Amino acid sequence: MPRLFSPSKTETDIRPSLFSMASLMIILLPTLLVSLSTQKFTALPLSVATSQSDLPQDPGRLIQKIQLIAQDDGFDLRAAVRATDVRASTEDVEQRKWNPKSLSELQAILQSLKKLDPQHRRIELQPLPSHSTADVVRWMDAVSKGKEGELFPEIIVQSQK
Amino acid sequence: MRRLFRKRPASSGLMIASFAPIIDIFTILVIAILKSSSTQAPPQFSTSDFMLPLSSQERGSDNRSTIDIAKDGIYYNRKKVASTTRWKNMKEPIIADLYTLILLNPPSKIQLRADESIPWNLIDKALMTAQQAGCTEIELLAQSRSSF
Repeated sequence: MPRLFSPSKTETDIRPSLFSMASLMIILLPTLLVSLSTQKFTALPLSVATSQSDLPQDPGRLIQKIQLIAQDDGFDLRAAVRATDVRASTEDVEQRKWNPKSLSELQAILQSLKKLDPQHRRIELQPLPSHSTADVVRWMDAVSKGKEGELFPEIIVQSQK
Repeated sequence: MRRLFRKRPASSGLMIASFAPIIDIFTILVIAILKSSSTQAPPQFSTSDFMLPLSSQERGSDNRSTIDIAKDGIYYNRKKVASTTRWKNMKEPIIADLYTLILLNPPSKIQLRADESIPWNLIDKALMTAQQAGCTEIELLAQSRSSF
C-alpha cells in the first residue's frame, strides 16, 4: 500500500547557483584588472651609520656585531661573537671571518649565526661604490630573509672608504 | 515492464560539469591578480627610462618627498636638480644642489627611487645629502618580485 505522505525525491538543481557564481567572477575580473595597478612596490628602510656616531652595542648578547663587506668576487663576512669559554670574561669577544662566494653560501652562514643568537637583528652592509643598486637590494633581501625564515632585517648601510 | 536502459531527458543549456572548471579558473585568476597587484596608484617617475630594482620584501610605501636618480639626472620631487654622470665621478660626499633644495623645505620623510643600474656611490651621496638636510626617515623604493 502506498504511503500517504511519501517524501518527495526532488533533486536540487545547482546550475543557477553555479551560473550566478560564474557571472560574478566574469564581472569581478575586469573590475579588478581595471582598478588595480599591476606593479607592486616595496619600500626598503635605509639606516645609514654616520662616521661620528658609533652604533650602540646590544648588551648581554652572544653576537655583538655582524659586518658584511661586499667584494668584487664574493663577500667578506665578519662577526664579533662573545667568547663562550668558561674561563673567558664577559668582555672577551672573538672575531670570526668567512668568505662566502655566493648568496646561498652567505645565507647558510647567516642562518648558523641566527641560530647562535636568535635575538640579534642587526647587520652592517658595506657595498663597494661601483656596485649597482640592484645588487645591493638583492643582498638586502638575502640578509633579511633566508630559506628557513627571518635572518637580520635591520640593515645598516655603510660606505666603504 | 521497466526498461533497463531508460533514455535520459536531454538537458537544455549548459551542463553543470562545464561550469566547475570555469569557476575554478576564475577563482585562481582572482587570487593571482589580488596577490600580484596593488591598490595604490603607480608612482610617477621623472623619466620614462627608469627600471627599479627588484625586491622580494613586502612593505607598503606611502607618499613622501622623492629623490629620483635616473640615468640622465637627479630629480627632487620630479624637478631636475643635477646630472648623474657629473655627480657619479665627483668626490664630494654631498650633492650640493640637492642639499640646497631640500633645505628650503626639509621633509622628515624621503623616498629614494633609483634606477637599478645606478652605482651605489651615488645612492650613498643622496642618502648623506638627505640625512645632512635633516631627513630622518629615508626609504628606497623597489619593485616587488610578486608583481606582474
